[in-house]
Amino acid sequence: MKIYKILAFVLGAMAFVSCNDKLDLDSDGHVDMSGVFKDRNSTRGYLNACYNYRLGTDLNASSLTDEAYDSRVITVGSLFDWWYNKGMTTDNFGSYEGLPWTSEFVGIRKCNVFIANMPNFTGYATDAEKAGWLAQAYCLRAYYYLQLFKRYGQVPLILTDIANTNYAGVKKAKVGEIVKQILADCDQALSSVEDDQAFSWNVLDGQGTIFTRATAYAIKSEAILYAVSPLFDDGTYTWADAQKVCGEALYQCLTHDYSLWNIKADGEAENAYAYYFLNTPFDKRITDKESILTLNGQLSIWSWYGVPTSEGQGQAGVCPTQELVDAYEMANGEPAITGYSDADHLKPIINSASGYDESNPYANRDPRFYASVYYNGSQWYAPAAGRSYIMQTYEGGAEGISQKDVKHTPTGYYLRKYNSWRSSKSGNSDGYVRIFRLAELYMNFAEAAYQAGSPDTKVSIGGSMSMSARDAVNAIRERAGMPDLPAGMSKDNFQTRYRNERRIEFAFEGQRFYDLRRWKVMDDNCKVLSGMDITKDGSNLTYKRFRFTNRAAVGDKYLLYPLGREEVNKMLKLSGENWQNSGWD
Amino acid sequence: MIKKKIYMCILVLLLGLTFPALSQNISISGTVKDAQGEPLMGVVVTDDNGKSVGISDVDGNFTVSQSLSSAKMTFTLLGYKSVTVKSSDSPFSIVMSYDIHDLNSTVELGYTSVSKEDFSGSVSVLHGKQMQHAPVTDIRETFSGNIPGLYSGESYSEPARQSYDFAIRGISTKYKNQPLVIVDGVICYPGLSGYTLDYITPNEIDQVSILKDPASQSLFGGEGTEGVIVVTTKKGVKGKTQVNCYADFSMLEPTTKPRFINSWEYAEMRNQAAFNDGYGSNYYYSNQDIDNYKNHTDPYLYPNTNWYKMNMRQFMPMERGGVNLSGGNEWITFFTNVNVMHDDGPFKTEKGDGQKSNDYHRNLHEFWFNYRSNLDFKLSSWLGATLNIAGNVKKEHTPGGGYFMSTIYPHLFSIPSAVYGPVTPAIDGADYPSNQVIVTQNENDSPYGLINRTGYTNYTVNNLYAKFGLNFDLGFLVKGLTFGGSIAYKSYSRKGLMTTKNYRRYQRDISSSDLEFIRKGTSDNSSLSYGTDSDEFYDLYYRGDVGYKLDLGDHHMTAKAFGWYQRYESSGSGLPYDHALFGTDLNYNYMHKYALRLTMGYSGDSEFKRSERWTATPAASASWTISKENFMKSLPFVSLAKLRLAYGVTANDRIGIGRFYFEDKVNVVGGGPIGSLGYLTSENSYGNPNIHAEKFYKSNIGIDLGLFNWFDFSLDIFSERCNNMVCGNTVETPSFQGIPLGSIPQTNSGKMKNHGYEVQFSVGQQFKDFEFKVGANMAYYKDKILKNGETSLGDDYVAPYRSEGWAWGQAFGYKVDYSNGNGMYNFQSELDQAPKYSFGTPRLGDLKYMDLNNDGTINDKDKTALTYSSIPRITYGINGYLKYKNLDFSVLFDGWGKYKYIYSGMGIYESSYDGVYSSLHLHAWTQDRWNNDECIKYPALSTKTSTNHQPSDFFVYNCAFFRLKNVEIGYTLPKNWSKAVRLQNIRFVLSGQNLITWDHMKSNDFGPESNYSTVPVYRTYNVGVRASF
Repeated sequence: MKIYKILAFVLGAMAFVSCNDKLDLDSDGHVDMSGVFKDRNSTRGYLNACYNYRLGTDLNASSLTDEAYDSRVITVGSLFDWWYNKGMTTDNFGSYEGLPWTSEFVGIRKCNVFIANMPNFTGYATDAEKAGWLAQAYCLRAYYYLQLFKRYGQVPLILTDIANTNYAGVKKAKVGEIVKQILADCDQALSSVEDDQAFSWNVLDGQGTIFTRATAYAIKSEAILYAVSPLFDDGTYTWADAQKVCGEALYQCLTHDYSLWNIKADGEAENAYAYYFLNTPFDKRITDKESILTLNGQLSIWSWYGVPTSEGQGQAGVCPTQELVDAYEMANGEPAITGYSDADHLKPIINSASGYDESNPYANRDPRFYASVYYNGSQWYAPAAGRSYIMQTYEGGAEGISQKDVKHTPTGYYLRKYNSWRSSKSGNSDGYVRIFRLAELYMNFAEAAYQAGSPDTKVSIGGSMSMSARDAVNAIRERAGMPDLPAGMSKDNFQTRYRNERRIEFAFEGQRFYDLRRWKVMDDNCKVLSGMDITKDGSNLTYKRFRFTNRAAVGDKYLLYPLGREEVNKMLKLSGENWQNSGWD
Repeated sequence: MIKKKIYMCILVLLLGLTFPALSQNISISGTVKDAQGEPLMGVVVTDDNGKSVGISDVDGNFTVSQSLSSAKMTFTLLGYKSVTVKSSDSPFSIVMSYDIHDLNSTVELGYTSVSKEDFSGSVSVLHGKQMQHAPVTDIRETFSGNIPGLYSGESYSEPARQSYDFAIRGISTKYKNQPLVIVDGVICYPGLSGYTLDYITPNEIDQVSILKDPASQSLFGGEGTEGVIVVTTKKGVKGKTQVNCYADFSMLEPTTKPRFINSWEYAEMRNQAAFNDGYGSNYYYSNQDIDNYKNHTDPYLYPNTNWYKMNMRQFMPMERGGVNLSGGNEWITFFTNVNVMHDDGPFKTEKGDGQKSNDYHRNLHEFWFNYRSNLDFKLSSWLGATLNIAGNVKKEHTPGGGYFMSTIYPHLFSIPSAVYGPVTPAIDGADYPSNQVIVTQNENDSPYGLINRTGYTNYTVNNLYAKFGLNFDLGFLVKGLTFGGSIAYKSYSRKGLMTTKNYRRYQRDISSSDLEFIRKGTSDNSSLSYGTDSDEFYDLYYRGDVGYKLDLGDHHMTAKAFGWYQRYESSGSGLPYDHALFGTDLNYNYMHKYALRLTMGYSGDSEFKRSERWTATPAASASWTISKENFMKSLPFVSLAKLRLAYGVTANDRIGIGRFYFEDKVNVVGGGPIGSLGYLTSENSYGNPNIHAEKFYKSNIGIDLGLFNWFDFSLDIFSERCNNMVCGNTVETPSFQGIPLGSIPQTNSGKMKNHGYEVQFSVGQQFKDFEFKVGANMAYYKDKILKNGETSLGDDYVAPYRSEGWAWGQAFGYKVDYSNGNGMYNFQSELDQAPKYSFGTPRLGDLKYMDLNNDGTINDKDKTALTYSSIPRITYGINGYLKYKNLDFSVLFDGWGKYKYIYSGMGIYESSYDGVYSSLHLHAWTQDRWNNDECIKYPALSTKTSTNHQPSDFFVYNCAFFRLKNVEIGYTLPKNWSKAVRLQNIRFVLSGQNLITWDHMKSNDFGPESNYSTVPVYRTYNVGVRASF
């Protein structure tokens, strides 16, 4: 009998072993995570994936500030209906730019994984390439943290892959700590070898939106400026620290061939400032020496936020407010309107020295006004095409004001910036939104410098270069074709002029949304907004200011984004701590 | 000695000698009769070893060629107590007595079988004989009402193409799979039972058994937990060749037809809807128009087009026929069967125009034949072989691009009766061509166009099933030892020849007051263009087993161990699926009084990582036949008392979350945001290397009770629990960890439970000239998801969890506030107090939803549970059989209980296309109806989506029903008549299927299994004849 048992056992075992082999998956060429960093292509591909979570600038954000009032408010349930009329809740807040909390942390984890795995990379790459890849990953991580703390304030600072660990002990980090890490990551990136193969100052073919050394400096400049601003200041950094970092950033860019765009191109645009926003950025830095980082492609302003008389226009969308228009100085460098004598913004305080004429309000303004806003009587700029068209935003005009139609402006103005006269249904020539450009580095330095010292004190920014806050602002004004700010202003007066300058220079570039918050002046500026109702009687125009109903989305809670309800509930359950930003339920 | 035998054995094998062993036989004959002296036909005679050696004929005569070595013969027949006699007692006159308990019948368990007497698990058996009462094409149509514990829902009802949704004992995992199907010991690839069972007809079936207890299911490892449908086909028995044939002619009609909405009714409702939407009265039709529609003044301008009648036949004919032969001799026994089926389309069609290019058959029709040949060879005294070949060939002809009824049926209702149709008329002086298909602005297809102007598709479907097996009786080595192996191959292929064309569409020019038509769109009448389409799969199966049987006085033991390997590959699913299973089944009983069964399955699946691949499923069951105890002798009227217990583990490896889930899915492709980097590496999903099969802990308690041999009762109570159900697991995973929550793998972290019971009884007896049997059964189950990795929607939600704590498939919606009687806003003052609706603004006559969380707004937060589960909680059946002399009568009722469904879509909502109205809409809310206190059955109509078109308890239909499923009346010709035409037996039948349904539906527009726009369940009327010779 024994031999049977043995035979049966052997047969059984053989059947089992062969079956197990039969059940194994044949190699099908798939890659798993452990294989990614053994190969040049998949590693480069992983770095590329690290880039995938950069947030661009959404022009809709302008309609959430005092820059614009949106025609789409009439669509019940739209973001603007909620923001203007009802107010936001934790649950519907995500309707603006998605959920950056989630996407940015996905990007951060990818950078963490990349940084942790690059030392063990076994594929082919030169040392310069490897250093360059790593530098980009550090720089991207810094960028993601900048985007997160700008929006959420304190966030957890995660520098390794923590997936599948216990999350109960994770704490939110102070903004100061986050900025420290951002500066350290940028410095880490900048410490790598400077080489076209590695982390370079140059932008090469096909590298349009790659992170360069200038990006790292721009991130540092913005991060530390935010860190010392009233909303985020927790004592970690001082204005003097900010002045140093912002100054170095400006110096490094200026000494590496960055300069403000100053090409006028007659016939193409009213002025250099206007022309800049109708051009493709970088241009491999042959002509465009100002742009540092761009993400979005061309904006189709003519279609998305255009004038109703352009064929193919879908909506007027982001329409400049009277408050923005009032902020533009006169061409002589004098502020036109310094405030309002009534709560409804119907009675402007006119600076008599400026020469502002209420019955001809659009004459002799800052050249940037003509580059940014379409108003009643503005020329639809197409001299190169030999065409001429005058905008009619008065009641009943072709582009007339209307509160009932998404295609017409509710304010009396249309967006001009980025909108090329060459654009039409058959081709898009519109401009790009820049995330970082040299002008910001000037302005960041100016803000830090006047706060740390005084507007006129010259400080060394590197090498033999020194500059005062007023110098930096004047550099911007000079390019715009505006006279210098006068010397000898008090800090407070300079602050008023500086903040106005920032509002004008960066209109519709996504800066205002965060500036209002970090200065904690959102409620003062965003609650009451007005428009200009023009009536035409024969050739007589009557200008009548009118106000919109108070915006609902004001209050301290709007200074920071809410965290998703699910995320808050999870952390409350895990750690007992409520992570929600104050004011949000 | 043993060694020598092995050598002998090997030698014999090597030489391939398959000559029959010589043995001396004697011939024995006799007759079998029942207690009333009537001869019994079909009694199977088996020898000592359980092998069948003969069968009785119509006169009860049998002749067997019996080996001298066999000392006993056993006579068995379903429904009778078996009789065992000594072979030496010849000549025989056997009398068999009626037995309602069927204790001697065999229960087929897939790989093994056991007599009902010794079985300790829970299995429902349906015998081929019972199935044959139904005039149907495939055996799945006979399950409902006959098998307690099996839910069988007709998920698609086109005749001869039905599909079914099965569930055994309800739902015990959220990945509700179909039960495993085993045909003659061969596993059909899970999920493909549709291809496997649909060509098996009732007359080839010996029995279908449904395995419900853990000990029976555990043997199937990762496939067993959803229950097993074991199909055993007939085998030949040694003896005279039996020929059975039948022919059936059936007429089929739908059980429900939506109420035809006349054109004036349509016009009035359309006006009403527009009025409610604020367009004023008579927006679409003037009162004059409506009168014109009513008075049929002008059939062109004011038609009343019945699109249904115009395109659908009242009845569709179906013919079926078949013949089977069975018999055999000493060396070979056979059962062969052939069936043919033909049905001829539900549609009315136009004739071709005589041109060859257009002269094709337009109607849907089907022809198929199926075949089965089960051969058993006795090659020698110790070697047997089986060869089963079965399959079918289907020819399906459909209109256009494979348009079965499901495509065309909804279009019967999408064009209003107020639209002239189906084609443009020939009117003198008209400036449009005649005979062109008419559609509407909102409906681009007309049923007429789809049926008649789209060409045709011919599908040829080929199913093949072949199995070859060898059985070694190693009794000469060790008594009771057997060894066997088999190879099976199944394949399916479908090839379509698609000859399609398009048609030109016209629509009424509404700007003209005359009957003008304008062309719609650019599609044009085209000639046939040819294309093909095909898909296929195959499935290979190898099995080996070893068995051992030991009888020591009152101790009886059997043991079986087996292993199999299966590979499935299909044209659509990439890498093959591989499965392996090992199992052992040990049975012991003492005096057929105490029985114990130990089973163990050990299954492996290629979808799991090597270390997690194997799943062990041990289980045990035991029974105690109390009525055999001596102390029960004082209660002779208790003809059966038995207690059954089972407990064990079953498993499910079909977890439905994507293939090779244990692996990361990382993709490296060209492109990405930075072009110069060249590649983009995407982490599409992360694998869970620990994912493994779900395990279920199941128990079953059963009681069987019999009285006087007249009454049979049994009750089974079961409970099932899964503690490692596969589900999402991100409840404690915040998103800042950096992996998108959707990419975080599911884990075995869920929990679900299920419990219920089945009860059945039957009463029956046989008398001279008369016999009857009446029975009923009912099953109940209730499942609950305990843990499903679900994150709460928030405390302000009335139902913050939508699966945890609920039955699988629970549906949520708004509660209608019926406190004012009809649940609608009847007055302006009532409407003024209405809460805000987040999905629109309610009007007068709209549904009044309850603000259950009291936040002043009706939104998702107010949704609450409204139904029971995704399948009925209760299923039941009642059956009866009567026979008086030559007349027989059988009846079957089936039914569902505790089943609700939230309806939506066309015909339920009124706003689709140009307004699709059904009988409820005829009684929609209007101010007049409300003022006049008329019956209101539907909220205010609308021309577009209104606030009423939300899931709410207004649209919850109670889908419980009770149905006269099947009736058969048979008349058997007196024997001397049939003998006169050289037939053994000839019987005529009249039968029907799905004859009457009693339900709680809100209208008669559709039945509980379908909805307004799906093919309704069909009713069958049938006449047939059966003959045997």
